[in-house]
Amino acid sequence: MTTLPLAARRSDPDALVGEARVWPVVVQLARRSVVLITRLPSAFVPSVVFPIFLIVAFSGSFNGLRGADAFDNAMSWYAPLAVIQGAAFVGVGAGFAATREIESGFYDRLLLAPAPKVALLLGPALATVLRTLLPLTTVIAVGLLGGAEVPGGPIGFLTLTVAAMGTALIHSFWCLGLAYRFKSQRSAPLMQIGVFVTNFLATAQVPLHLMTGWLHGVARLNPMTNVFRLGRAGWTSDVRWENCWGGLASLLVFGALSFWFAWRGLRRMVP
Amino acid sequence: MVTVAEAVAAPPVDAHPERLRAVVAQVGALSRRSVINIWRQPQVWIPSLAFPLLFAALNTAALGKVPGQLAERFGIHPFGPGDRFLDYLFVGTLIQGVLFGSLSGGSELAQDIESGFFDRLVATPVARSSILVGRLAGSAALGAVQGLVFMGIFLAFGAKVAGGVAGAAVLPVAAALLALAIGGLACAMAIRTGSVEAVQGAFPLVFITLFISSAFFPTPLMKGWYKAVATHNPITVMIDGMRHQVLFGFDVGQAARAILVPGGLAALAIGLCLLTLRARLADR
Repeated sequence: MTTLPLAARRSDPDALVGEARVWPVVVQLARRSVVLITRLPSAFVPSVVFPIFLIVAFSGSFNGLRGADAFDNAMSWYAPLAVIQGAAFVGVGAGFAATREIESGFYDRLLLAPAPKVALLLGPALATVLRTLLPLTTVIAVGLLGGAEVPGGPIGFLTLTVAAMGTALIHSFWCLGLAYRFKSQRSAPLMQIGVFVTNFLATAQVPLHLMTGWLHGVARLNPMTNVFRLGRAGWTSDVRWENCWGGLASLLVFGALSFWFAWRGLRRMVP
Repeated sequence: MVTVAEAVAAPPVDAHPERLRAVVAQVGALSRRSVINIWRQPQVWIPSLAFPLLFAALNTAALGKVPGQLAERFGIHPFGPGDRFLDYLFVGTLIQGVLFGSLSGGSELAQDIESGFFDRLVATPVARSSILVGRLAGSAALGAVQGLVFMGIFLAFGAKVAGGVAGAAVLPVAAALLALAIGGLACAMAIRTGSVEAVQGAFPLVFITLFISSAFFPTPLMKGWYKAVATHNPITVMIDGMRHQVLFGFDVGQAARAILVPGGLAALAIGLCLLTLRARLADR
């Protein structure tokens, strides 16, 4: 089996930090992160359990909103919310892991390895995408068992997957950026608050037309509203381009910005 | 003012009036320590005030139209006769703050056990019950203060208490009793495990208990097993009793529900606490 140091040292020593070295290191870092699911379940279980609780609690509590023209099927409305929230917490997990390793000193060894630094960002990012599959599949299963409908068909699952993975990536880059700056597990609440603020100041709970006052104004401008629209595209109606392009654009723009934020943080750490 | 050291150093006496006086002094000193302990750690009490208020602001803006729409379309008033979501949410927010804040009493006790302070306290001639009562008094005081603070903030934002002064008086009393109950359960867990982490691990359970109740949405609008669980949740029984004072007016029967349910839970929790303490001390 190829271990991380071997992947970093393999082949021509003169080209140790060359472009060709990025992907083996990315894959090994991602593999290491995925393996941690079984070795440190306490760090990952909340990102699966919490979304399941969320879909059950929200669809159970707010089922009566159907009468207020919020949605036709509470499960179909809240399943994408739970998936996207779970994905965001998977991204937060990447930040937690980085702070843990910075505090333990393991990250210093990674920084000293003759590997391209961008791999330190892309490795956890790839792991985040893979780990998102777990809340995605479990919550979708719970939602379908609970009576969710997907009028958009298979494309509805695809749009939700794109929205979830994009959200996970953005939060992983954002939280890695915070981890590189604070270098302490005490930054964990800041990472979690980011998820709650961005999601619940958007159309997480109810559609835009039901909101009033300040929340309506904020949610209308919040890019997560577009991401939720993308995630729900096939779950509350047929998939239409006008429901998707805003979410795709938001994911691209904020993906790039959060990557830049994390990259700048990492560059500051490098001696 | 009697300090903790002076209160617990008093030798045990046989005469009942002196003994009672010593216990009262010990409880007073330990309660004071507990309250000061919470007050000096804003990270403990600020979240239990700020987060419920943040969620209340969010929910009011998100769901504020719902009562009016349901009344207009179906002629139903599950949010009360005024169809005002702010009034409906008032009690739910209060209980949310109390539930989150009262776990801190257990965490503090676990912290005392981890740091060795609990062992030093037990080694003194202090009455065992004083240790618990002192700690729980801190939780109850925090609950009552939260009740008053939330009431002030909600009234400032336009909420109305239909029950007037009598109805409003029920709320902090019920809040304090609930804080005593949850604080008691948290203390029992702290004594049993001696771990701050274990006590804080109870947070999700409290969160689930609150969510599957009528705290944020009326149970008649729920369906299936969720509705059944929420309807029979003791927190729902208590909240509905308190909410009646806010939405409909003062009612003795409903006030009794609001006070007896948390009072009963508090009695059970304190009993459990004393049993756990006895078991812990017997193991030595």
